[in-house]
Amino acid sequence: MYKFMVLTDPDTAAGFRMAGVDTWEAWNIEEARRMLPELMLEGDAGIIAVNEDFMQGLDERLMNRIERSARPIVIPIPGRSRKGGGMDYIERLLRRAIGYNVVLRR
Amino acid sequence: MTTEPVKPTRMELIRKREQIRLAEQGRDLLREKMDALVREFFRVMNEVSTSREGLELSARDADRSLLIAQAVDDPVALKSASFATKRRVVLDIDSRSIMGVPIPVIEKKSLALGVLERGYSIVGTSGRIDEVAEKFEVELDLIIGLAETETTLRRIGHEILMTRRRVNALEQVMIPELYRQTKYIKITIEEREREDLFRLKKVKRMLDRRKRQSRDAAAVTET
Amino acid sequence: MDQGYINARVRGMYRTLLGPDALRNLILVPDLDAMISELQKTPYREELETSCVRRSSVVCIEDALRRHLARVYSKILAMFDDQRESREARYVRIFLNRWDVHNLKTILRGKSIRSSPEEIREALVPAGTLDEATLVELLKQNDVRQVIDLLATWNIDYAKALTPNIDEWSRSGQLLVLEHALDRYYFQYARDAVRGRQPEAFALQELVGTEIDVTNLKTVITFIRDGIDLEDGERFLLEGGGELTTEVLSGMVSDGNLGKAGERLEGTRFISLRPLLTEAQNSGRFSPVMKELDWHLIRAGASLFRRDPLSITVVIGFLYRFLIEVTNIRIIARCRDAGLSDEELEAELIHV
Repeated sequence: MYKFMVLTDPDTAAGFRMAGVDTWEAWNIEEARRMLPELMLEGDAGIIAVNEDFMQGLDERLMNRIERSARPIVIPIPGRSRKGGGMDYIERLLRRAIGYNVVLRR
Repeated sequence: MTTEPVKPTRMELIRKREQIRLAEQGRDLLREKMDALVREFFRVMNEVSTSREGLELSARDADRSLLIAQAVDDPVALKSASFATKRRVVLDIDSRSIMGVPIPVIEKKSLALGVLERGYSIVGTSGRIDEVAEKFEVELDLIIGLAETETTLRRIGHEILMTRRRVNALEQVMIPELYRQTKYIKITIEEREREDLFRLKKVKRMLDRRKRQSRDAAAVTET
Repeated sequence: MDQGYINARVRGMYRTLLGPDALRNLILVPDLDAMISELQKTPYREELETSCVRRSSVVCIEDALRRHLARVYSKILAMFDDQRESREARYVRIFLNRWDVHNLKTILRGKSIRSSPEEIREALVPAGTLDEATLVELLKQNDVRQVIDLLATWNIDYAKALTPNIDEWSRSGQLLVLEHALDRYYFQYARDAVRGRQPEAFALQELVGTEIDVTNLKTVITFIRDGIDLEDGERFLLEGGGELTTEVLSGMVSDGNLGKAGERLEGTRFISLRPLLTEAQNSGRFSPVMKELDWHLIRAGASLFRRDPLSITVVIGFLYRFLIEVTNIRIIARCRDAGLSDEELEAELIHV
């Protein structure tokens, strides 16, 4: 049995906490960048859902580590700013997955 | 590829030709695999795209409920209820394989609770707060689904990259090198054959001359 | 105790409430910092000045609102200091008890999951009859049992509700047992406090009856939504409703359908909810009808302000009106912060 963890802003955290998952609050990208590697080390972490706004502020080394990790699975979830959603999300995912810039027809 | 000394023999030539045949066969198989992976990649990509759209809608819906509950009931009411909630989500993570690529299968084991078991009193907790819990639970389900498909997409993408690298290595390095080596062997053998022929002719000429000379000498002594 | 003098003071406080124009001004400000500046011209200034070291503007405003609420309510409570056991003082306490119940539930919940005192404290609103110093002492206790013991040692009435239930709680591990004891105590206190034949007692009996009706209706709606049987749910229905008897409410639960249950409200003041109930049944969206129920109670409470100028009802009406103001300011701040449009924001505001 593994844990579902959420790393997000304090407001959204209140909602996830009501749904019964382990919820961690960060006020800004810097805080999130410090917290995420520690959460990834928790032995029973299954999924860590990270606010998209934080995810985009992570450095290349951490991103590589996230992508190589078999477990926990670290996944971006829509942030309140609604930035980086929709096509942006898919294009970013493709670029990281196959190393090409794929331009999707909108 | 390291340039090991190539023995320019007929045996070696046969071996190299066999190597070329195998390498080209391997390349074709890898290309086929890559085509299949790419097809699968785009199929999963569409799935990810749809799931993500669903997640964005669900997140907006959940955030809206949360906002209204925070605005009307005060965030402290939510915080207080969250101390008492008995909802617990745990995950079961297994793995299966698509074309040799291991991908995760995630199952949510959640205690879906009725209002009587959720831990906090039904009296004095606004319906808005229950709604927040429910909407976020829906969002969780979608996140779990997306975690599966997104990881699948990433793994397939990685496999495509690896396969492409192997195809490239075969096509641009190994196969040309093998062709170069066979060519070298062929040229060397031909050259050697030419040299041998030349030498043979030379020896024959020498022998002929010697034969002629001894015949002439014999004729002289008889006279 | 001079009710005329108290009413004069409360009317003075009423005049400092933000009128419709001031509220409109708050809606029109471009951002939260401007909203804070605007609020600094109001009685909220004092709390805003000490809370704005917090991390975000909306948290700062909310913190100030809670502390201002606590200050105003304690000011009102202090007006009855020389007559703590008077009927009037008890009426006021009925209203303030809801924060005690929130705070006690929060402390018990926090203690039962071993949250830190700091974290629990963030969820408290010291606007009830238990002041901040009392709450801080309760927070220092190690566990649920010690919290209840301390309440008993201090002879605080809530201990009477909690102590008899400690055994069942420790046997079952269900905190719900203690929460329900507090809820029942809260409503029982209210019903006892408003007994009597004085005109203002009648007014308050009506208000308490409405609160019980509203609470029961919300429970019934939740039961129907989640398909809970009458047998399991009946014990959660409160007695003493103004218009809705337990039979009516049980009937609604048995109907198992909100549209059908709505028919049983015929002849009561809640009949206006019928279309909303039908809509909730069809759309699965329950918040509009829940919101209407909240408003029902709040409007009933606020209307007391203009009922009888010489009676305690002025004070009770003010308590509700002030709560509406605080809630509206929080709604504006939150919705502004989240970037909602003016129309969406206004739809959430409570209008008296």
